[in-house]
Amino acid sequence: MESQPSKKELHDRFVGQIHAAQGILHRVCAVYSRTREERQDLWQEILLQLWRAFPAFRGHSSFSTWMYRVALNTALMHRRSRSRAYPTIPIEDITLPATAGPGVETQEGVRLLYDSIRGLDPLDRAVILLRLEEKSYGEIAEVTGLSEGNVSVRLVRAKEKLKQAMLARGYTGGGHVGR
Amino acid sequence: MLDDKELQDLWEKGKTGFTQVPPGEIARTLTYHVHQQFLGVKVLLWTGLATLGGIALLGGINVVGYWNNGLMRGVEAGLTLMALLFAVYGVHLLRTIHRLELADESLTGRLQRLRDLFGTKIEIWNAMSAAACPSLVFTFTSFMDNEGGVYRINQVGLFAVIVAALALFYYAVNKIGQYQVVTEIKHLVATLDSGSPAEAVSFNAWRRRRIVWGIVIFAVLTLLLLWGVWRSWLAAG
Repeated sequence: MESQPSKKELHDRFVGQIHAAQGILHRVCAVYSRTREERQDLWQEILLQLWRAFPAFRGHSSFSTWMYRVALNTALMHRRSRSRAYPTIPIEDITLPATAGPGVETQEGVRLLYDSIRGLDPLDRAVILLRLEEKSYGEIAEVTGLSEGNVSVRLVRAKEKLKQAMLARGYTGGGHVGR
Repeated sequence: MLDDKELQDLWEKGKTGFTQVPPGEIARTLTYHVHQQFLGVKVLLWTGLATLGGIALLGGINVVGYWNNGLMRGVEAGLTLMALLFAVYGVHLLRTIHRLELADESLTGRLQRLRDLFGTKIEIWNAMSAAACPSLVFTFTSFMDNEGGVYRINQVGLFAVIVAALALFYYAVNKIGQYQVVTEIKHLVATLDSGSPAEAVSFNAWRRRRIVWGIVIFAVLTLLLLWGVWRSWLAAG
C-alpha cells in the first residue's frame, strides 16, 4: 500500500516543482496585473492557492496544465478593486538582461506585447497566453473548458485584436516601436 | 504586417526578462496568510451562522420558559427548528465554497459553477439570513421580557414595520457584501458568452447604476430602521 507523503515531503516537492516551473507564474502575473505591486500580490495569491490545492493534485493532467488552470482561475477572480481605475502602465520590471542580445527596440516590443495583451478581456488573455506558451488547441480546451472549435474561433479573434492593439500603439515590426 | 511568428518571437524574448525566485523565497511565501478568495461571502456566512446559533439557543430556552403558553411555545419551537435547518444549509454552502476554491477545474467550468452558486444558492441564503435577523431580535426580546410565560406586543403595526425593516436591512447588507464578487463573476460570464467589448461597456454602465441604487436603498432602509428604533424608544419612554 502506498503511504501518504509527510507534510515536509509534500512541501519540499511542491517548492521544487514550482521553482522549476515558475516562469508560468511570472507570465500569468504579468498578463493579469498592471503594476509591480499588483503583480507581487497576484504572485503570492496564486502561489498560496497552488499550495492549498496541491494535496488534491492527482496527476490526471500534467503538472503544468494543472498550474495554468489554478493560476488562471486565481488571476480571473483576483480582487481588482485597486486595479480597476489603474491607467495602463507598462511593466517597468520586465527587462531583458544585457547579455540576451536584443536591443532596446526589442524590450519595447516585449513591453508593448504585454501591454496589448492586458488590454484584452480576461478570457481572451488566457487563450492568447496559452497559445503563446505553445499549448495545443486540445490543451487550451482542457485548461479553459471551451471546446476546441470555440478555442480556435476565440483565438483567431483575440489574435486579431492583439495585433490591432499593437499597431495602434505604434508597433512597426521587427521589435520596433514608432515614435 | 505583424504576423503570428513575430508575436511568438517577442513572447520568447520576454521570457528571459523575469527574475528567478529562489526556492527559499517560495517557501517563505507559503508561510503567509492564505488569502481567502471569497472572504466577504464567508464572513457573511459565518455571521449568519452565529445569528442562527443565537436563535437556536434563545429559542430553545424560550420553549422551556413559555412552556405553559401554547402559542409562544409553538412560535419559539418553530424558530428554533428553522434556525437549525438554515444552519445546516449554511454549513453546506461553506463546504461548497471551500470545495470550489480548491477544485481542479477548467476556467469556464468554474465560472459556470460560480454563476449557479451566486445566482441561486447564495440568494436562498440571503433570504434565510434576512429572516434570521428579526428572528434573533424576537427570541432575544421574548427571552428578556418573559413575564411568567406571557409576552405582549403592545404596538403590533410598529412591530411588523420594524421586523420588515430589519429583514430588508440585513438582506441589503448581504447583497452589498457580495456585490464585488458577484459583479466580477457576471462580467466574466458576459465575456465568456460573447467576448464582445460592447457587452463589457454596457455591463460597466449597469454596474454604476447598481451602485447608485444600492446606496439609495441602503440609505432608505437605514433611515427606516432608525425611525423604528426611535419610535420604539419613545413608546417605551
